[in-house]
Amino acid sequence: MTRKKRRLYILGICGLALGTAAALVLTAMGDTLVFFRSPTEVATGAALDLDRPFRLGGMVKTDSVERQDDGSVAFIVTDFAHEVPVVYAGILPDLFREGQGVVTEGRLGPDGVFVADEVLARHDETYMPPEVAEALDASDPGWRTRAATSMTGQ
Amino acid sequence: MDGAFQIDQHAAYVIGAYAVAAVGLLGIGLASWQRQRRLRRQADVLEFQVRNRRRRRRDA
Amino acid sequence: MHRFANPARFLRLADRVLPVAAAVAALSGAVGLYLAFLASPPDYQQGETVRIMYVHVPAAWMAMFVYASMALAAAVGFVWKHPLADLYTKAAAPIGATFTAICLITGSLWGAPMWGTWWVWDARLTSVLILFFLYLGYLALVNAFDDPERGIKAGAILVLVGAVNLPIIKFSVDWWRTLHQPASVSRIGTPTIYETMLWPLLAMAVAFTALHIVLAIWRLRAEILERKVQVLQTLQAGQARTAATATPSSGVASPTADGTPG
Repeated sequence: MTRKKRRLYILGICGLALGTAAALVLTAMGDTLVFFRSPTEVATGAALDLDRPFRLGGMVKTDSVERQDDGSVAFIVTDFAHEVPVVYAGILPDLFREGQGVVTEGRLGPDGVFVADEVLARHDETYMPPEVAEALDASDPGWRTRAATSMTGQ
Repeated sequence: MDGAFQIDQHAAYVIGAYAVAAVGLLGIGLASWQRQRRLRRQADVLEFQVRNRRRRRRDA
Repeated sequence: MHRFANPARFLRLADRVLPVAAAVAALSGAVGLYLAFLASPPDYQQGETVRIMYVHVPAAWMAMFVYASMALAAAVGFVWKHPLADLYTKAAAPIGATFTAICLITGSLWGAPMWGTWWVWDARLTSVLILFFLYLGYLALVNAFDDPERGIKAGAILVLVGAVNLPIIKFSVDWWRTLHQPASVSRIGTPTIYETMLWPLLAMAVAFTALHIVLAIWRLRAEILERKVQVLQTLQAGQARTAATATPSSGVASPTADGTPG
């Protein structure tokens, strides 16, 4: 075959080999790359070292946010299958609200309450003006929950 | 639909982001244009010198 | 394709393309900025801060697009030995690095007020940071060799190997749980971004692409000129040697270093 063709084949085979190697490495590492655990994983204790700090993510359950007497905040993180109660003593981010996504880092206490060191707001990929959102609220009241749910499923 | 930028508590982040982009793109733009200009001058000077040498030696 | 292998031909084409690209960049940029600040709504969740998207997302797209073009050029250079292809890879690298840096910094400025943190090590952010390191690594590698050709070859290998990072970046938000949200535009199905917010985004993307063309032409011209300068300097050195070794009094010209008579 021509030299050019040979070089093309070399490029193709090396590319295939590299891609396969990368795919295998990433699949093997799969679990460790998870940025946060879901409430279901925490509740069922699936393959977790729950004594160490980890991240918990899901949706803030509606009507679950309560200010405690000592100034900290308590809320529940849900993925609509299981729930984990959380307490946090710091300042909440601006976008933190009920019915929205959240990722929190901390430890699970012996009483099943997650003590958070950090709380981050997680938003979905939907962008629209406030008027459109309000119009949707009138015509399709469940859309916000659906949007938030689509994120907990990951 | 009202579409003008209103200054809120996060306005500094928005302005900062655009400022960073502007500075970055201006920086690479200036550097790239100046490099090209410098090399063009250098090439022109060298070409003139090389041609001159050849002409002088040919005429000599 | 080989019609453009001749630098002179490319330079003539570049001379025609450059002003058009510059005009598109200026016009599209002006339209994009106008839409971003004066004619697009705040977001129902993020408020005014969403306007960072119109500079962060196009920068991210360019960071990946430029690297992909570098990888393509490196492959073409390897298979077809096209002389301008390798020069393009070297020329484009600083441009891609700049876009990646802008993406990372504007991303942090967006994340701090919205997420509540400047940085997280999730799959999306980490893989884009790796992309930035690939750009820097490439620049260091290409410039580390005395022989420019060897530097180009080594760089081409790095670019091609690193290309595996591009699908990782793209699909990181789908394959793993990330803090960074999934794609709104480049996805299967309708965009999840309202149209009045889509226009400034697309306008800025067009502006950035046209700007890349302008910058790449400048830098590619510089690479071609640099080689021309090296050739001329070698010629000049040869002439100096000839003049030095030719002694008029002896009447006999000594042979120059390469054996040809003065």
